[in-house]
Amino acid sequence: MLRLHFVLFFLIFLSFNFFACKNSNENKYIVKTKLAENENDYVLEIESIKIPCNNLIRRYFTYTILNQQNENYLIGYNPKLSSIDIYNLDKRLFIKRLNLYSKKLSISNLDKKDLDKSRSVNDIVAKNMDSIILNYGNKKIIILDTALRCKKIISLDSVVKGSNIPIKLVSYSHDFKMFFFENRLILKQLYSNYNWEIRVPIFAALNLENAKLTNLPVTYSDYLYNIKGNAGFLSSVITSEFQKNDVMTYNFIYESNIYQYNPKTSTITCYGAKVSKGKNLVDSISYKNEEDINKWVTHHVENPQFFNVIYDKYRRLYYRFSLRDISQRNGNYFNTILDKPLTLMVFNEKFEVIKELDLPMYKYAINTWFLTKEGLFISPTHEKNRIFESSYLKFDIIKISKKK
Amino acid sequence: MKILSLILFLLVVTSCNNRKLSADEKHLDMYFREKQNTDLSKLNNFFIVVISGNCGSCTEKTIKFLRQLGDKKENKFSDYKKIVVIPSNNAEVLDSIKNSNIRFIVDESFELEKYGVNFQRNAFFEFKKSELFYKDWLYLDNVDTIAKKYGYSLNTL
Repeated sequence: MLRLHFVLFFLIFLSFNFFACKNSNENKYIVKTKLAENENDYVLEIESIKIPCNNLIRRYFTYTILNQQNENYLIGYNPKLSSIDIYNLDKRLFIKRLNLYSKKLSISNLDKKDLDKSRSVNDIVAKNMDSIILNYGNKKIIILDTALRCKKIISLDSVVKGSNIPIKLVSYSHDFKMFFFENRLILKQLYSNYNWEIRVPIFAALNLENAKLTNLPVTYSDYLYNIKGNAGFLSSVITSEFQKNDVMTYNFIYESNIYQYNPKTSTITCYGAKVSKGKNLVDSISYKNEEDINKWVTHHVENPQFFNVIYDKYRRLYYRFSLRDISQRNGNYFNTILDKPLTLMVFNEKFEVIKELDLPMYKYAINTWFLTKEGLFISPTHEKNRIFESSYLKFDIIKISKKK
Repeated sequence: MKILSLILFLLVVTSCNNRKLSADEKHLDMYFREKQNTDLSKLNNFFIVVISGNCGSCTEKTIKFLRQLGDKKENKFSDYKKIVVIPSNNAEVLDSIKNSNIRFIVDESFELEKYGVNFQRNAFFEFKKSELFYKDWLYLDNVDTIAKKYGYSLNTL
């Protein structure tokens, strides 16, 4: 009898320690979140729009938004047609298709499935219609205009050759999105052998005039160093092209905190942006052998995933989407990342929470969001939603406004 | 006492005969039963290749191997059913393997993952008498190893 009590006590003790440890990680690394005092002053509306087109794809994953002469343009990479497609979002109009196989450009062999990122347009940013900047396979930065004139090509390999540390410069529209900050192009630095004992800069600023590279003092957060980078598929730093002037906002896929770098004061401020449902920190996962790759998939499903932070200069708000952690087992079946609920959080400029809402299941495709003066656009083309009208590009616009 | 021993003996024998299915077998069996209306236990001898949806999973080497496996003129493994399950995002591979005796199943709605038949690499299964006999990953140099095991040469094509 005494032995039974001892075993029971031991089990309770173990489980208490297990949960206490998990909570202590969250207490240690996740900053507390405040609710905005005027959170009830805001209302949310959703408008559905469609733009006539004939582009063979349901949505763009690689795109940029250009605001020129007070009009908003979507410039998207169409892998199926190997083209750059341009839309006027305000007028709901397809404007132009730029064929990347034009003789004027030295682009060839693009992957039509867009799976092989070394043969893809990984990212786009535009200063104006005369200066559309493509990241081609993380190998070249190509600057072109809408007449397909190639204005400049910068080899990313030659840029890093002059650097002391062996690095590679990368950006992906859906992940670490390149953007202009203080007139320089911000890219992510990859290291061949990442040493989790020493902090190294992960942001590089590229001057397109002279191809000069400068490091920014931004590193991965304490938590990733603590777990020595063992966050499985969820270990990336993420950025958005929608930035507030003077400060650079970034975050990490693996935690709910949001960071802001101020180059004038050389300070980094960390804000809490906790979701109220589910985990706010990804569990660590170690990689031992090849079979473990399936454990990474389980880890991906059973942990949260935070997306980039979008600044809304028109309303002075921030938006951030995230996918909630769910159990992979679903009776005899398995849940996948497509079954994870998508949450939208809206913050004021102090990152106090204004709204947190779960979006309808199986409706929206992740990483298809962007901002214009109309509101927050998102594509209602979830992978499990098989309805596809090839003659329209569809968006829902989430509009947040103050009650009148 | 004798009767009790006999019952115990029978229980042990019957429980030993109930072969425990591996997780892969269970998942494949459920996927084929529910989504393809196919009872794998009735197919006897068969190969199943599950192509991963990942980038570059279907290399030229893998396609050569599948072409030989499904060659109609080839008598080798003529008593085997040959099935290739392929996610829709990699379905263009089918253009390279026409006129074969392989049954291709295109997973249009991401159902494979729901049934646990999701692999980060192409998976190769051989079933004998409806039991999983051999499993390996069909990627990089492993394609050569598997091809050699089944008497195919990837250099001759």
